[in-house]
Amino acid sequence: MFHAERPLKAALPTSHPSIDDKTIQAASLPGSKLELRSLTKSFGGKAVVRDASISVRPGAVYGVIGRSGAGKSTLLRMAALLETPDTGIALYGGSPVSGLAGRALLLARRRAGVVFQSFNLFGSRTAAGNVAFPLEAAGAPKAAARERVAMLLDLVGLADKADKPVGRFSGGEKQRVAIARALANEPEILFCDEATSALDPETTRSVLDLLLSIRDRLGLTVLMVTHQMEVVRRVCDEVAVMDAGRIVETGTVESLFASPRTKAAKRLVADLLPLEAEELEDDPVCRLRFAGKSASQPVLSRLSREFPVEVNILRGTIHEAGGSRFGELVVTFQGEDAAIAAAKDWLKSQGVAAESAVTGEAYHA
Amino acid sequence: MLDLLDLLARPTIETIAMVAASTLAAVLLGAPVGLLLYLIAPGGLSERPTLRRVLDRAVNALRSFPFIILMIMLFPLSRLVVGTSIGTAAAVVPLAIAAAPFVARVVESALSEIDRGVVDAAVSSGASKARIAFAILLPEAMPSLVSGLSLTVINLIGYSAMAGAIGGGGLGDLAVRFGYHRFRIDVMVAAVLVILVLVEGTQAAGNAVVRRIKSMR
Repeated sequence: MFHAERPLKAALPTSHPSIDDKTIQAASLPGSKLELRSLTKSFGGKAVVRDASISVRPGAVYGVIGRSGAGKSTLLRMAALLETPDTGIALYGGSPVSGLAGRALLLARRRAGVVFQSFNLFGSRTAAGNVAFPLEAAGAPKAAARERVAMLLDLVGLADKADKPVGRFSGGEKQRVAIARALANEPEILFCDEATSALDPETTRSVLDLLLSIRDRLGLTVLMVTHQMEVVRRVCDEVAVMDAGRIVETGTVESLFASPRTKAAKRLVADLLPLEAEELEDDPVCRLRFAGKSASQPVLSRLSREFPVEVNILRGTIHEAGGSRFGELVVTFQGEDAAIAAAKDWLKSQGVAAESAVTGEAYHA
Repeated sequence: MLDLLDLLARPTIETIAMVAASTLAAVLLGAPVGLLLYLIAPGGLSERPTLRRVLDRAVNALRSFPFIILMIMLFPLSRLVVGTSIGTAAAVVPLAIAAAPFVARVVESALSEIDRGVVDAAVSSGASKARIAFAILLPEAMPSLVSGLSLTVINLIGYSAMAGAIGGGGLGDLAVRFGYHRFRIDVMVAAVLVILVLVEGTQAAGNAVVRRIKSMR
């Protein structure tokens, strides 16, 4: 392993004159590896990120999900020190890193690695040359750097292609090189900006598996920005939902799937089981969400027996997220209005969330 | 025929020497300016809006000078640098100064073609700006830089013929003195043909180098 960077890291100042004393003294949340505190950013008078705060514990894979234009990439760029926030600060391991300049900024950037959607490899270099660049930048001794490059390419499964120019790699291979490059300076935090959005489903799975195994082996903390619910479901422990520049909901992945609270979150969960336009015309289409014990009970057959209501299942699925299973069904009810209302109330009492598939609004008793 | 070749040999060498020296000088003068223009541009690695505006205007001003006027204006400078305002060596000074702003634009536009994301990746590595510029940006832009360099050389071959007309020597000088003043149409045609070959050769060599760089990526 390569350790030349250690003394440099130790030399990183924990405070900076441009950040006022009050901010520094405000203790960061105990045990958070990455903390974003009230980050705000506008471009040309338009607020892109508004007062966004999250806290990521060490070793977690934290997802930030939202539609395109929700401000999540800008949030990541501020966290990765590629963009300066208008207000607010980012902290790595409790020490403020926003507003640094000069050498302190370079050293802080080396504490994090970034993986981009479009790979952003250096086309003028081989795979090994790409991974070596951050080490060159940090002034690592040549022999140690060579050893670390070989180790990292082996880690991402590309040891045999070290000397190939990156232009000839497939998308999945390119992203693996990019991951190795991001890990070159032994970062504490890995930022992934839509890292799998340009990849096909199978390659996405293998890249996500790689990220998880690297997290486990190197004890990394990962912040992952994505618009793909599938990615959150597969790898994240915790998640923040972003909408129009704000973080509207945070929690465990289980809680997001079992009981999304905000409209933005419900829409994202519903995306996993999208409806055709003609199905939405079949009013009233209803989305039923089963979590916990209701997922293992024959709720629907009991409903048909106890209420004069027919249930027509349009589609259904089971998600696995954060180690739990969630069922989701899209159904229409046929019967008298009063009976349907009673049936829905009963579903609620059984722990099944029912909401309109069109508006995302919950049915109330 | 032999007489014609004899006439052409020396001016051809003079033209090549003039173009080579002025290309080198133009790159040394213009490339740093081009790199600076790119780095201090809005959204660049070291934004400096005011300096950038000034530099931008200066480059445009220099580019808009007709070469023949520039050359006459630079006679004193030639005398200062090479000791004379006549001859091949003296012509290098106005040639280099005329081509330098062109080189600056070539370098600036070649660098601007680099994907913004690639720059982000280099920045996020915690590399200094100088290292990003020399270890990433210039190598990434190499194919465009080489294309631009061959364009510069071709422009300079044309300019050098003009410089020849007012005492710079080379093929332009030959064409004017023999072809125009002494009605030797054959010499004029031959001089133009040699210039054509030089231009074609430069273009072909530039294209070959670009292809070679791209084939290694």
